Amino acid sequence: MLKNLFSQWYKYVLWALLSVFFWGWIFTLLTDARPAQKLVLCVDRPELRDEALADALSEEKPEGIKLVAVHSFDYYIFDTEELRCADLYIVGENKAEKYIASFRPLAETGFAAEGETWQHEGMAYGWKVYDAASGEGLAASYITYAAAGETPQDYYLFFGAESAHREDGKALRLAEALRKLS
Amino acid sequence: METIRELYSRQDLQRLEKTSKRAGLAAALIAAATLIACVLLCCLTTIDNAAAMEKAAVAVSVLGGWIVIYLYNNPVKELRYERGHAEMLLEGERETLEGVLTLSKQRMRIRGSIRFYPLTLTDGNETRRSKVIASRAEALRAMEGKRLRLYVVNGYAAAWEEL
Repeated sequence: MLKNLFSQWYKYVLWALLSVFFWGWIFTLLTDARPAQKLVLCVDRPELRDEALADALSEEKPEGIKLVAVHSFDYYIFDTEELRCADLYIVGENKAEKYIASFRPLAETGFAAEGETWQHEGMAYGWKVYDAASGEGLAASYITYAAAGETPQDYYLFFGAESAHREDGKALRLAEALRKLS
Repeated sequence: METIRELYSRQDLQRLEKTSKRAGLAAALIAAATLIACVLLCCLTTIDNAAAMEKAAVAVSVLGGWIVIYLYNNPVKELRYERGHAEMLLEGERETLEGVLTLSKQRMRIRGSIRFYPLTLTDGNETRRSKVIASRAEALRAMEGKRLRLYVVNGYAAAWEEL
């Protein structure tokens, strides 16, 4: 009987994998909110405590917002459209140029960027949230900015150009909540 | 005069049919219970408890699925194979083989069918091959080295008598 069980191990593994993916998809559908009712922060780091960071940011959820979601860029592997419409991004210096079309200049957001900014064609787009030289960063207990064996780089916070909260100030509120996290 | 000993009787066939249905029903009930539990978890989900509910749904689904896979691949399928085999032995056309019995110790399996032991009946220089279903092989094992008349259906032992 045991021999039988082990000879068919692949069926058990396959079922476990299918369950994880299937329920992940179902619960994403169940808990997702319309763009106007959610705030999304996308972080270009795979090592991310996304749920914990979303919980921390949810403590100061603006009125009318049902969901604060934090996702790694990997989350959008099948849905780049949703990635394009995120409210805030944390992106490394070496990829900022690549995603520039998705970002809004800081001057249009009302965000008071204290300290270093990432500039493009003379305009400030990103606010530095992680300094590679000192290893200090915003929400560092939730985001691993530099993994072991990786060359560290600076990370910046950007506002989404296609965000549903460009005018109502809710993306700005999310950025302010993020600024308060150590 | 020796009596013919059958490997399966009509009662055995009915019992196998009943047990096979019960095992199938148990697997179906567990599958249904798993599905209902997961649907309930979905109904009770809010944005605040979503992460915990998702983990619970995955755990329930994985465990329930594993039990169903185990039941289906072991008792349910095995009982179905044996029931089909017993039916064939009882309904099929029999031929007889005679000789001294040697039963192999190596159990074999036809993919998608029963497990069996190969056997040979040696009569002088002539050796005839046959098979016996593993779950009923013990009865024949006791007759090893003895001269038998074996009643065979499609190459499988259905009954025997000691000569």
